[in-house]
Amino acid sequence: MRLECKVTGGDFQAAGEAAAKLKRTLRQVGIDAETARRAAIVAYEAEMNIVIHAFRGVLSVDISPESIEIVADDEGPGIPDIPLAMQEGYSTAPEHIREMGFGAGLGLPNMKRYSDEFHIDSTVGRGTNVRMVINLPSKGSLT
Amino acid sequence: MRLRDVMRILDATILTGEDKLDQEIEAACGCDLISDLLAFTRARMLVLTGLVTPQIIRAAEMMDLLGIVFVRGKKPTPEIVAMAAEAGIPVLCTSYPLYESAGLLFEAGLRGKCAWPRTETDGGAATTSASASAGTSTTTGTGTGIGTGVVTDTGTVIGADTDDKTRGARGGSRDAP
Repeated sequence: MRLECKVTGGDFQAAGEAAAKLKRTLRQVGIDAETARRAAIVAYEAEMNIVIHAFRGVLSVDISPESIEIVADDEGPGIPDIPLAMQEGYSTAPEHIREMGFGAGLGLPNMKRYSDEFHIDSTVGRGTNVRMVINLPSKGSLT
Repeated sequence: MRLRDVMRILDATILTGEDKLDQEIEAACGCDLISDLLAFTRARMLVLTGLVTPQIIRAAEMMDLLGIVFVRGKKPTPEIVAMAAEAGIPVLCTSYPLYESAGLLFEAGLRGKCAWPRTETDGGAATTSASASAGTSTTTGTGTGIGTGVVTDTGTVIGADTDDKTRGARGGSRDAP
């Protein structure tokens, strides 16, 4: 099963809708609450990163019996120094973004924290691609 | 503690979610930064915040939080309330500031169960460096320090206090920030 949502940079009104839609879908197809929550958090952070930093992007999700794969692919400025961007507390978000409660420098670290697999690739002047995998609990351990 | 008790203790009004007043709240946190909320809180918590934006509702929805209390007399717009209603998240408003709200709830037995300090070793995210860097990066208008630590921090202070007089003046404390 595949979901795909376009995300527009700077659109704070619609920001989070893609992640919310994903979460509802995951619950509808019977994914347990904790896994759906983790997937929703990483999708939300990825979506917000596009809204805050990029011009536009696509959030896509593939749900298989084994895992949930979430890919955020954007057209934007890219990240010059990925290890630096991965550091907790490092943020390039401007003041007006921080006033909305973002820019704590935890977006990428959060995505990594809640994922079982985390890959990031970025080209300055072109954009960033983040791929995250969350493994589904085996059927025997579903709650 | 039920949501109804939170409402009474904080002398709060409820803007949406009246049907959930008997819901049991297991823990709470105070937070003015969305990413902190996403990083450190757990499901089924109540969040106290002065951050009145649609995104706090969205984040609460993602986190499976049980309610939002807007502190310091902050009032959300009708659009924000409608969004919370659609997400099924109760919204309360209190005049108490964040610190006092947290203290009153903690005193009444509602603890914080944030994942703080963290113990993972993912990518060198040690607790000390994380808190230090979070602190320095959020010294903006809304960055009230390390938001999710607030309940725990106030709890430590209040819990260690043996003088009831210093913490019982609930009614008279509202004018003193």
